Amino acid sequence: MSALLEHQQAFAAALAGEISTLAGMVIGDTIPAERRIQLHLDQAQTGLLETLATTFPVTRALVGEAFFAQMARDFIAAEPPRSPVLAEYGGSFPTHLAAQPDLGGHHYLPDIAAFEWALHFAGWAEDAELLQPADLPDPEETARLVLPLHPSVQRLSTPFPVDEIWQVHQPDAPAIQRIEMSGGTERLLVWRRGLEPCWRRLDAGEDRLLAEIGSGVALGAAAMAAGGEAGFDFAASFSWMLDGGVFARP
Amino acid sequence: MPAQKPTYQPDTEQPLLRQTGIGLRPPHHEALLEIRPAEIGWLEIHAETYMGGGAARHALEQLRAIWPVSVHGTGLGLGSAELPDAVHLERLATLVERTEPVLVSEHLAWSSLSGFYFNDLLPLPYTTESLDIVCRNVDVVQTWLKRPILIETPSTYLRFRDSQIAEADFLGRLAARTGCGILCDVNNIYVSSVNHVGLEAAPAVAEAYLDSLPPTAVHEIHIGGHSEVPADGRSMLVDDHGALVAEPVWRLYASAVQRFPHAATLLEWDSNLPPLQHLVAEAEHATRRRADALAASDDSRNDPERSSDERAA
Repeated sequence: MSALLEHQQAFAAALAGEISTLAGMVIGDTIPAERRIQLHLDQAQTGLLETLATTFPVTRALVGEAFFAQMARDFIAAEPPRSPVLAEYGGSFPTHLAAQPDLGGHHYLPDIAAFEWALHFAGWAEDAELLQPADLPDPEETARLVLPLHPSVQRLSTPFPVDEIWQVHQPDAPAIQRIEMSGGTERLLVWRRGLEPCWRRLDAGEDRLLAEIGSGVALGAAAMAAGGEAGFDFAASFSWMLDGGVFARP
Repeated sequence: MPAQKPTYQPDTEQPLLRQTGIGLRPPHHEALLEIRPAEIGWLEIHAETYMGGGAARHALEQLRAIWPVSVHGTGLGLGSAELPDAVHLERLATLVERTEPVLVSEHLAWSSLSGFYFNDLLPLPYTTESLDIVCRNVDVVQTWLKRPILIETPSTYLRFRDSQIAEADFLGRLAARTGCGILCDVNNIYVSSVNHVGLEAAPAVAEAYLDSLPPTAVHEIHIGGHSEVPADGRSMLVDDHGALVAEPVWRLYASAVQRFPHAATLLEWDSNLPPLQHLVAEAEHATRRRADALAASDDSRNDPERSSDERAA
């Protein structure tokens, strides 16, 4: 094994908490080797904590800084980043939260985090040319189209009104707002409209339509499947989706 | 016959020499597009911040129509014993192709191992073995990008017992062997010097570092602020780009400008990011200090008696 690799494995071990091997490789002088190493460990950790705090500000506000930092540290230890593109780090933080035995009474926290991640990712996702009304052929051929969704499109389903909870934690939110925890299922579409992340509540038919299209089903068959849901209006739904930039050009 | 190594063509960098550039940070997108400060000569992006789509890419597209842009990578980890990650390198290549930057740069550091990213620019021992490995990695990147890159002088907080080559010499040999250029970060050099030899000896050690760099290989100079952290009753400097440029760094900057007059200057600011106007003012200050340093070095090159005669005339 190369000596460079040995040094780097010792550094990796130090970052995981075992610093003795690395300390033996580092020059200690007026400042001990351990203190010098610690500075690197602090820098790496602080940067990742800041990344998660920036991506999940409402989650953090709901549980407070100390509790959030503890959960974030656990997450970083369990699922360290795999890529230097930190905007893409944290996608599994909501799942990590959901697996925690104690969320300080905030049962909806994982779903809030999932909503925040979806908004964040919607802002970051790849660009794509949007499907235009003029791209659509005659109805018969349109029904056979397999439409790609815009790369920013994500669907969420939650028993909590996460969009309302999120809204009251925005800087410009009205001071008091009553949130009904109705207990029904909330289906949300989160995507990017123009340059801005946005969301919209979906009815059961719209949710089904997008699920079918997302799994590669042709438009006509997807509409048929969604038609099984009560109150589904294909023409109205497809119209706002097309207008809102939900579909990419095939 | 071995293939000709790519080397930088200084004339493409001339526009960058007139004014200081600033590191582009997303909170400043709107203000930059609105104010279009004439005092700013160019922009440098952190590659990893612009690898997505949406608002950031859109802003970059508009900004690069106004200013020359440089792409500064932070995640390739050229100092790793492993080869640069192909997926990440391809994303960098796509960004470079799309952005058409005037310069592309990376760090003399490593940050990933076995598929995990450690989120820090980590130091490496400077040995003949590690030099071979870094040369290999720089070759891979330059071949992939089809252009030479600059490698930045790191800020370091520790040194390895096994290091045999002085850092500036290591960079010089790297440049000679791969045809890469050098990005001379004077704040980093000062921070490292203080961290390794203490506050008093640091300025002289930092000057000696500049002396050891091959002048023709240096194509960019970074300036930025640092902070101080307590370390077992002493203190260490941290390169956090979160403050105004410190006075000892300005002095080192003047020396660097005199040694490397063909290098463009870039001001970095990351933590405690101030409003754009503060950055613009600091960049303007750098442009003035550069001009002063160049004027002073012209004076000292002239015969002192003749120049005093000229002044009298």
